[in-house]
Amino acid sequence: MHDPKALALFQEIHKKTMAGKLAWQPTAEPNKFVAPMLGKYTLTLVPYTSRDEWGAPQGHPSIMLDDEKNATIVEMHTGVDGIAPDDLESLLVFARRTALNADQKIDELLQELQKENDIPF
Amino acid sequence: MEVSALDQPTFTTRMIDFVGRNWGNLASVAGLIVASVSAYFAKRASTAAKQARQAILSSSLAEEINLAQKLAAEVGNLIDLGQHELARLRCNDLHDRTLTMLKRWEATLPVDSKNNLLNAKAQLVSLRVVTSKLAATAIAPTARQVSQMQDSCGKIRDIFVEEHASAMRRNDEADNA
Repeated sequence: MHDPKALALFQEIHKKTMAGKLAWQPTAEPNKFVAPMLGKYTLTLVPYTSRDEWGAPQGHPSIMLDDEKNATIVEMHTGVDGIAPDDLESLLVFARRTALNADQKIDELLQELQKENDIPF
Repeated sequence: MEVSALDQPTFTTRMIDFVGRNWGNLASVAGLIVASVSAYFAKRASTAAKQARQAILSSSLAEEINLAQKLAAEVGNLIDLGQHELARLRCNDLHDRTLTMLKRWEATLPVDSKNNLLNAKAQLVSLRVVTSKLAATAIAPTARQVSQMQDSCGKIRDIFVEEHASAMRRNDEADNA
């Protein structure tokens, strides 16, 4: 599907997420993250594109943009020309890192591990 | 012929004469002063009324958030107790209340507060999905599910506590203005 606006929006979201500048928040559902914006829009990132009739998740991650009336105004998934599955997967990984403050925790762990490698003289 | 002092016009007669000739101008000046004073007091009254209205509105918002905060604590307790069906119902109530707040106070709330409330709303939607599934299947949640639900409840509670404090601060600022 050719949707230049959805693609442009996805590219910005991807860029901001990779830079850790988009405040993704974890939810009660596993691997589902939300990011409210401008006081009226909510970005929702889920680890699937759709669900089958049994409710099983299918496809790569996808993002939905909901407006203040709870209507989904844009959906960003692999069906949009220019959105690659790898980009969506990396987006999910980095959104999770932001939501769980993982960078800080990884740095802390790295420091500790590197300390153990130091040879005391 | 010599003019005696008694023939001179007195200060009073001169004043009467002056007023008689200029009463129109004097009335205009007096009218202008009265109008200015009235306008000054009207402006002060209007400002005070605006401040009072703002204080009442802020207080009403703070009360609404306070009620939501109590409901959020209840949702958390129900999740802790494993009462998923009841938790789902309370999630619905709190979701509707949050939506009402967002719509009712759209013009008053700052963007950060709106984002916070949108976050709470999204958390409640997720919590509703999870509790619905658990209530429908009657399967005990995994440790991870419990932890995620508790985190989500904690986040919702924090949002309402923070927003309640912000609303109270705005109240204080309006009172001190």
